[in-house]
Amino acid sequence: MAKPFVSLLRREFSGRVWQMWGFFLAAALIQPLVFWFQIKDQYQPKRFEEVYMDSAAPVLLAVFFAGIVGWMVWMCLRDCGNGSICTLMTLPGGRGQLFWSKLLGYAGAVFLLLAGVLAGVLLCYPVYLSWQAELAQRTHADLTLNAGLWLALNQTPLFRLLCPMTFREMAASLLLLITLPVWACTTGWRIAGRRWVRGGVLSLSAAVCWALVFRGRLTDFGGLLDISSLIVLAVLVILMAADCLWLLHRGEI
Amino acid sequence: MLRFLRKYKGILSISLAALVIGGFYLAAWLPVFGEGFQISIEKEWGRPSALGGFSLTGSVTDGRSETIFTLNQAGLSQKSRAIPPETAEEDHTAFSQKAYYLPGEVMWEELIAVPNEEEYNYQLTQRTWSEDTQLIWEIKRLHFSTQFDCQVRLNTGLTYPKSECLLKSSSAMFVPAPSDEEIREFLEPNEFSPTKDLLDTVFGVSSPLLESVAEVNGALYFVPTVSQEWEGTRYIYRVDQSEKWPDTAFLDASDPIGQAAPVIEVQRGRDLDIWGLYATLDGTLVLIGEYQGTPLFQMYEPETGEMMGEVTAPGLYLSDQSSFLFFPQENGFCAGFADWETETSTLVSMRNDIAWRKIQPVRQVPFYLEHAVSDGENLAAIGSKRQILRTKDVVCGAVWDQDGLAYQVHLSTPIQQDEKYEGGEHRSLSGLQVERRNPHD
Repeated sequence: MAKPFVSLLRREFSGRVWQMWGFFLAAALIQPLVFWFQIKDQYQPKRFEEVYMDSAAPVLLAVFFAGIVGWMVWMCLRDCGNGSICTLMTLPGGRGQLFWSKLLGYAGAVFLLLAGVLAGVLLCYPVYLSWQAELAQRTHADLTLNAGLWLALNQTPLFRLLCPMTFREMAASLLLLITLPVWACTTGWRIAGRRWVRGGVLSLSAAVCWALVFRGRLTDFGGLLDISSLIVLAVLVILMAADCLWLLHRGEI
Repeated sequence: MLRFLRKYKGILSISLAALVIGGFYLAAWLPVFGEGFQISIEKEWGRPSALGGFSLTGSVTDGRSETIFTLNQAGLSQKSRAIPPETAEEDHTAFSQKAYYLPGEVMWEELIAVPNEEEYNYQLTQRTWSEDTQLIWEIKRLHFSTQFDCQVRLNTGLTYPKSECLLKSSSAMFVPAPSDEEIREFLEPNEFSPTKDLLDTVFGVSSPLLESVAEVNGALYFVPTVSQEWEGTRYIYRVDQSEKWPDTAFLDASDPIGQAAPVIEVQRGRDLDIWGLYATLDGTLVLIGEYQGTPLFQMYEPETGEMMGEVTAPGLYLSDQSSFLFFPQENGFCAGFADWETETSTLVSMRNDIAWRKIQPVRQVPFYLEHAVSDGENLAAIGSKRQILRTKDVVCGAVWDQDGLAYQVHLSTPIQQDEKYEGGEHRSLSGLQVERRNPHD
């Protein structure tokens, strides 16, 4: 790998990794907390995923992911605002590497957030088990449920979105995740360059398509996921990446 | 250390994230292979090699996930999987039969209007003593995909020779008390309800023990399942034209619906209690009845109406608590009675080897039979014990060869029968089946 690219990647990811850890820790620790608030006053046997979906945890997930996209856009804007983008574009090795390093760095951030979310879900499960054991003791009932986490994972669209089980689901989830950094780059740079029309249309259509695919993944278990919306989203991601590279090449940021 | 962390913080962070995601998958998957999800062989008798080409399969399910097990010569294997929640409803067809009774020669009729406790409210009753009561037979088919798609009703021509009382009854408000004409008018659309004596002479209508409708090559055949007491010729009918349920909902019981032709005259009909009609997979109609106290099978060719064979099966045991089970095969069938109260069953198999004359010996099965398959002289059955002297449900299997019982097995399941079991999931056995490798039929 070219040295300037590694330096850029270090700047984008390693240089900001503590901020990303903030997202990881927030996702991992706040989820069990809201889950515990939900479950502590429950006295009827319920499945893990039912309690999780009834809690504020799914809303928190949306907040975290929206937060990380906002953070990425802000990072792009800050680079443009303080003029560091001009220095970065003069680095040897072509301007395109600036985009690729950002993309990889931000993808790492999303990956770290995803790990935080899953760690949070994993921490919720012992909370659920201890509540269930207490309930069983109180009601003198056998509430044995083997492989409850596995069942929750299999049967809940939200968990399957975060933790896909089939190749097709994995492709759809990866595409949804990779769209976030590409969208953040193109939107941030378009805002910085004050080029509203083309950038706006592209960003808006990508956001709509992303929401459609996301909705499809939440209501469907991969079997009937509309392949055409996946293809359209993939095309939009490629267009946005090309737009970013074109902006860097023309220096219109 | 700090320097190392600072230098490699990026790579370390990504590695940790990968570890967390991998750990999540592992934590979810590990218990699936744990003790609680397993089915094991509790007891075995005889030679497992007797299973030959048979394999016994089934699943333990809680509606959301299932553990599918297979027992064959190689041993017991099982795998767990989640059941997709939006699995399409299986295209299932169900038949129902209904008997209506029409008065023949009316001997005596009585109209009664008895005031209830509430003023102006009368219980209206019409009692009709009739000789030669006529039997009207109706069949319906229900398709889960196309809903109520087929209905046929006809007068069988069978009559009940004894004098019987038929009843119509209803309740209504009248001011002042109703006249005979008003009672008759009010009860006009009702159907006659028969006495218990008359109900007992028709099988499979009041208790759904047996089926009387069979489908062969897309055509429906049915037989009125009547006892010897009815007079007239018994026929197997073919449905030529049917109607949809809702279109015929308000027709009077005496009005025919659709068209059905009597294509096969039942042999020994007057001496038979006809229990039901089934079909093998290659399209032979199998009529089941009782002849001189013994279960009897008559095989008919539906096209020509010719009786191809007739065998009795002494030892097949029918009790009030039992249900009849028929497992069609190519060129043969297995049939038996399963008693849910004692959890025992009797079973017999038959193949068209020598003009439907040779029936295999009747086998006693020490469990509630769910499925059976035969292969030549070999027979395999699967069932369960769920009620008697158990703390957990047990899957039972048995294999017979020409010398008798060759292998029997009990598989223990994780399904508890403890009344306190109110667990997150209620598990049950489902889809118990015998499968056969390399069928010779």
